[in-house]
Amino acid sequence: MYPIRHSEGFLHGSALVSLAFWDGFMLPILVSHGAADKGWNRLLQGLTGTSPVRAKFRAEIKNGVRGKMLGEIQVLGGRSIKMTTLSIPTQSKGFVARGTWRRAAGLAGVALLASWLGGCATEPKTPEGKIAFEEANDTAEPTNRVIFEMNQVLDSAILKPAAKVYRGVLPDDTRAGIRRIFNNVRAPVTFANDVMQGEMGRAMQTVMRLAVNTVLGFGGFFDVAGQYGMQRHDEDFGQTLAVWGFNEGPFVMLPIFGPSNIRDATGLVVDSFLNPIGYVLSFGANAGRTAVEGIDKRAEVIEPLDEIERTSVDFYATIRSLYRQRRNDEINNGQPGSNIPAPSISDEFLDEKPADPTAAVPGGAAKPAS
Amino acid sequence: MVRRYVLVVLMCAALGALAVPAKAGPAEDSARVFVKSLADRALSTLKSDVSKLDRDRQFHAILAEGFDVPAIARFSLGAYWEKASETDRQEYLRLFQDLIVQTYSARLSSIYNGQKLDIGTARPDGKIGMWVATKIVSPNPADESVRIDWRLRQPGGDKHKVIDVVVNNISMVVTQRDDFVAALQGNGGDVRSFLGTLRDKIAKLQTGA
Repeated sequence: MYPIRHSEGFLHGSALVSLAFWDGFMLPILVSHGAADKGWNRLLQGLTGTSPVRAKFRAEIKNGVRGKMLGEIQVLGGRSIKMTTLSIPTQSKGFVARGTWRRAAGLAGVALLASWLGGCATEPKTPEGKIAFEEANDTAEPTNRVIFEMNQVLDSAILKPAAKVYRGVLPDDTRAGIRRIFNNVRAPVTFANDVMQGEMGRAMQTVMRLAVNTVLGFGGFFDVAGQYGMQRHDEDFGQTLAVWGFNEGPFVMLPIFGPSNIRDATGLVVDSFLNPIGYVLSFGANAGRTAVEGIDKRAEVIEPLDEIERTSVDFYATIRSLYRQRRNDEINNGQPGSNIPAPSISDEFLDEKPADPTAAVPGGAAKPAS
Repeated sequence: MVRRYVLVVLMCAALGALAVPAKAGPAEDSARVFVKSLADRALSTLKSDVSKLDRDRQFHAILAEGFDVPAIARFSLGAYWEKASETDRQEYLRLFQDLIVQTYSARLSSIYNGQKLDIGTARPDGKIGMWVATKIVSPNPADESVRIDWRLRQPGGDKHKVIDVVVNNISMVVTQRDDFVAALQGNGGDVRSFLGTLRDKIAKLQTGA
């Protein structure tokens, strides 16, 4: 791989996937939409003075269902991958690719095509289908599924192998320390969101932890504050929006970043502006930070994610369900009961109407022993 | 300052621990005992060095005795349960057990490395239900503990049965339902072909593929 520092790339239209090589790691960094593409590219060019990697795709729709895609990836410094004209069906299943690059790029094109072709799922006609449709809260499901597959390709080609190497090279303790540094670096974001949620006690705790761990814990490598009973917690702007009363909005599968929803995706963008370190470090250093953090997170879930994929009937739907439940839990700060079936559902469970309709679902589960 | 704070917290926790058994009735106690024995069986199965076939067999027994499988299975099919014919329902129930055994036998043995289960408190859930809070504690102190809440009910009025296992506030039953319902929605609501998918999945998992 080439030690190229920055990259850019764009797809005409809505989805943009940019792949970068950074210090030997192939690094996916940027996703944006529509008109923002040009702005991003200009910004990147301004920052780097040049555009070392350029990926360009053009997609055409023919006969409503089959599309044609032209693509080219140029790498400054000697390598150029030209994509041949591909005729691809809008469903990725039928898409046969040679080489990961082509497949990933092709699937990006497919995602684009699918969204152009009106990727919004049509509401089903059967009553069961209608219930399932409402429950899933996934109006752009066809597009999301294609993006999910694209992410899977990128994951198996880049992220998962990198995570395996990372885990193989560094011992558990070192990785845990690195993770603590990342958490420490993220503390200002948590603090800002604690404050915006009106959680002053938790905000204080975040500041204390940041101070103690930065000074006594060598920048956060050691969790000294945690040893004194100041436990870490995480907050993000998606959670703040939820606390302010915004609902999650439809589910979206973001390229590279994975499962999200309109609210949390908004939060992701806002949080990226909330962290002072983003302004302190150079673009490349920030990209590297994001990459290592992503690899570290991925390294923690290699086996569990494999198992979930292997055992679920519909992996995409399982991830969607797990994402929503985990976010509900995070929004409620670990308070029990956030994902317990509503009374009407527990009636089904219990096969009988409880005397008091509110009694079926308690305020939550019992508190764990501590 | 910090030390005093820790001490106060510890004292409160100790008082809380003392206060709980005094309040807990016999139903709470029996629920805690039930979850403990169920977890002990599962953990000793994971601990023992048996073949996959034997492990699966033991999980089958634990599932059949400790869980209200028909209720969980029915819930997992969502609104499609009503659509399924009686024959399909019978077939589905059989497949559901196999799938759950295969799923959790694989998932649990892939993550097991000597964890222990701490049984916490129990509290009522409706008229005939009970919640039991537990915590998975890893032998490695760096690992965060995992919280598991067991939702029980007593269908016949005496024996406890598990109807949901909630891991860090993520309901396993809800996750299962979302998985199945999406698969069914994806194939146009065809229960028959869904059963075929389940059969294939189970066959794959049994051979460890």
